[in-house]
Amino acid sequence: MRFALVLSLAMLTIPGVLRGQKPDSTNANAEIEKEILKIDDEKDHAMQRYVASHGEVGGPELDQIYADDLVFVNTHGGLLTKAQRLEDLRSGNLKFISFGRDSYSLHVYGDTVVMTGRATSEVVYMGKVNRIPRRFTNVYIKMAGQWRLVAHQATTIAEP
Amino acid sequence: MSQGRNRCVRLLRCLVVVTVLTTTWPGLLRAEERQGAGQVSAIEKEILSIENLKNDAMQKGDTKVLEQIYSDRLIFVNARGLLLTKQDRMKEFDSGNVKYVSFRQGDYQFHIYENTAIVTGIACSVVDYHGRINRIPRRFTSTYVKLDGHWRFVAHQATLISGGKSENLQYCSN
Repeated sequence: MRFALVLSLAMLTIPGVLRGQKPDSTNANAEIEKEILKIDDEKDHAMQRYVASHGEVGGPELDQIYADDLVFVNTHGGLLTKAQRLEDLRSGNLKFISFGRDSYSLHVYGDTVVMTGRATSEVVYMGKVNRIPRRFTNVYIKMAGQWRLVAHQATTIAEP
Repeated sequence: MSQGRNRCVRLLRCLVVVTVLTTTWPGLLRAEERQGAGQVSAIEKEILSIENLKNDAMQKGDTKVLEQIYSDRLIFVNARGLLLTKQDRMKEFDSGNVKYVSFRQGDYQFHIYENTAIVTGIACSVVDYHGRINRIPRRFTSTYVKLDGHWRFVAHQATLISGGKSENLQYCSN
């Protein structure tokens, strides 16, 4: 009798509890996605300021967002460390003619977020103009309460 | 007299504690560091064995194995900058649109963060992709996340290596 009562109570309440959990986690992920988009935007602004000022402005912001052991793969397949990436930006090798990013997609796995998107910026890199869109993937991990960019890779989108 | 003796005993006790701590602590800390490094290396080994399993399945077109390793929400960007889902990737193997003429992948670097592993490496495999042969070496980054106790492949991106930096291509020419 007692067992039947517990069972029916469980059958009545568990689906509701489960339904209640799903929106919560979806909402939490939506919040994380918003946060990541904001940080990624801040990173891009800091990067543009850093490039334009040859490293005079935007450095502290980039330093905070880039993880110390950042893995950065550029469109030439070059693997750069955080220091090499910052030097590349500071050196004047890169100039932005225009800046654009779209087609974002984010996947949240707890304290890890995988983000992909399309970069449409027109850039001059080592004297060569590049207008071809690039597909990029960013991986953010929350460390000591802060989201840090641990990996970035960009690939030129080939014509079909 | 007895107060002075008590002070001496307390001082001696303190001295013993300090000596014990200074001699044992560095050893304990080193042991902790070793354990941390050991854990990281164990994770690297685990990830590498999954990579090998995945690579073997890719060569055989064994989508059953790939189904297990690939996360359902996989983000896969190939060397042509095309974004593929897990389903897209499975279809490519099932249809025979991806065939390996030769397979070589390595020069791995691991970055381990608790439940996430970032792996970079170089692929020099010759691949027949939708009827086009690609021999150009690629740099790739793969991301693994531990989900329900299993490491799953959640993201991958490949980029053709260009620009002629010799260290980039050293792995493939060896």
